[in-house]
Amino acid sequence: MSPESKDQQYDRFMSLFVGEEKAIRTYVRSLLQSGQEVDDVMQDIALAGWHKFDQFDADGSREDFIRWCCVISRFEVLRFRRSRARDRLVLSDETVQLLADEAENRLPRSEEERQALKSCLQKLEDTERRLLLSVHTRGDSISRIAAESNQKARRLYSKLNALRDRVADCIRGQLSKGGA
Amino acid sequence: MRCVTALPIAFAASCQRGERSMNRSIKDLARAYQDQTLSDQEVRQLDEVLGADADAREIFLQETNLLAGLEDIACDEPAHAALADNDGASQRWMMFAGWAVAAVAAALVCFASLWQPDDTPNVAKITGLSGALIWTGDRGQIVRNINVGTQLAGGTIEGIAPDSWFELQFNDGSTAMISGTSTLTFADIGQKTLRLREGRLSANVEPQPAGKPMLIHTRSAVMEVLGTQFDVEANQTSTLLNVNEGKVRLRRLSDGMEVDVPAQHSVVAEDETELTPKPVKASVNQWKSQLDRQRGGYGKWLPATSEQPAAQKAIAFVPPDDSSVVLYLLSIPVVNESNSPITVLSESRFVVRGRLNAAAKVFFGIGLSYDNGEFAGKFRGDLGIKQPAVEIDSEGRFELVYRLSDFTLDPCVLDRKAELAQQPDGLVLDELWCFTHTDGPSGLEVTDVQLLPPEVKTTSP
Repeated sequence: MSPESKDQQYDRFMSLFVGEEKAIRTYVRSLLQSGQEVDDVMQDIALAGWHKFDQFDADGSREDFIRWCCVISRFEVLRFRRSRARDRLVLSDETVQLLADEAENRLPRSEEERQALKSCLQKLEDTERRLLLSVHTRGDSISRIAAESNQKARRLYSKLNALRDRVADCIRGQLSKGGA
Repeated sequence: MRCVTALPIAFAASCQRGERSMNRSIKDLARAYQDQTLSDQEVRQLDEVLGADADAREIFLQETNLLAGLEDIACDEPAHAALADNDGASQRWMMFAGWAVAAVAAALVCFASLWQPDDTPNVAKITGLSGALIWTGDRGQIVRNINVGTQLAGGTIEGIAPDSWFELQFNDGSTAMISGTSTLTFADIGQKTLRLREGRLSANVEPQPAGKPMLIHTRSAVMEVLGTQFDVEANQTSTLLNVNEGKVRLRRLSDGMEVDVPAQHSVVAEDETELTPKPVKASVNQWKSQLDRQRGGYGKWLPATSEQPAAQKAIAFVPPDDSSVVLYLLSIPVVNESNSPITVLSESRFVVRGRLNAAAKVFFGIGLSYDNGEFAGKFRGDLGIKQPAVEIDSEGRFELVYRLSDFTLDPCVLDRKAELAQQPDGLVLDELWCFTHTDGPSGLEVTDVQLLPPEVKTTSP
């Protein structure tokens, strides 16, 4: 069997990376504090993955690829954290390493939770759903939304967490019944 | 307005009740971490726990996955407009005034038919009330049947029990609330003037006309709202002012001295003491009543003798909505010498010591606020569990423990549940009370109340 050409190798890498990007993002997000940071790191992960792709077993499965990418992702996340100037304290590298180990093991569970989340959101009233999602819109914050909606941030936060509790309970309920 | 979600942490390597409460703490912390609202200290503490506890890490990852999932869905959907209830005000100032001394005579609430003079414009309306209250209009007439929505022209509202609560909203959207045994007189003739004769006041103040700031009078000071967010505690002899954001001008009545207090500073206005703002101190998680040195609250104060410590004795109280019921009720002043806020943690516990004539159930409640002074709710420590009659020794003495994890919202504020804190942990202790409901006088006296975090053992007074 003739060795892969560079183009074939690239196509295979992209097929795997794009196909499993969601799982990789889920993993990376569990180690960072915002979706924006995930976007920044994913580029580095993709580049690092491509540069090292010749070290990945050509017969490896998608699950193997995910695990392999998690190793690369962990390194890139730690490098990203060190390289960023921060105006606030974050979790230590040691703790992130521990979280990384467990995040990798629970990837299938995380995906199930995400699926259940979609159906659980549909069970909320429209205003509740909008509230819950509005604070997670990129560039938004609880304090800004509180000011815009003429609410006290503290009360808004309290309402928000009550909704998060309901959704979390719904997710747990769905998963315990065996599916989203 | 900045989001001030301080969430103090209580961790123990082994939690008694605990796993559920501890899990709740990790959950809250994980959310706050992702919301980027934790302080540096809280991040360090979270880091320590996550490093040591695999269960905590699982919870952290669950919550992070939830928030990340919401983030992804939000990104896929059109921008969302702002939300639920708009309570009709913008750019709020917070003001908090605390309790004062002097027992209030236990009077039943007298309500007469609603009265409003035709020629006096209304300046506010009632937006919330519960418990025993007396309303006197500006012509001295007692008003019956006040309800949420009733329009008011100015006057005096008195809360006569620890669980009393009353909120009004001025025409410009500013709100004022009294809680517990408090007396507030208010008027608005081009300039809002409030007089807190005694008790606790909380207010959200809209921007006021130039040259006509809201004035708040206590026995010892007058305050003008200059800044955005501040807390005031007042008693008969002194006024403590904490400024969180902006600036507040305070004038001491005894000598007319004035001082501008900047953000993150506090000052005590008291005769013959220096009137100098000082940096605000961090909150504490432990507290002990000082009945031997400090009178106040609701009930009859009994001084210490050679045989007995000082005590607060419960006095009879008849709820206005049920004259067939007689409660024996007392409240204890919540003050500490350092003037630091007293924060309850998820695994905190209250230890209450006292005396009874005979074994009886002792019901216990607390009033809490957020760290910016805003009212957060009243909670009861006896509703969620089956509490037996307390055991007393041969001298009638008892000791009770109420765990914060057992506290639930007091029924008197359930109608505002959506606006209040869902859980008491992380909030600032403002007041506490207890009572018995027996066929006759129970002889309830409290000699000591302590607030303890989980790892601290109790010390007898």
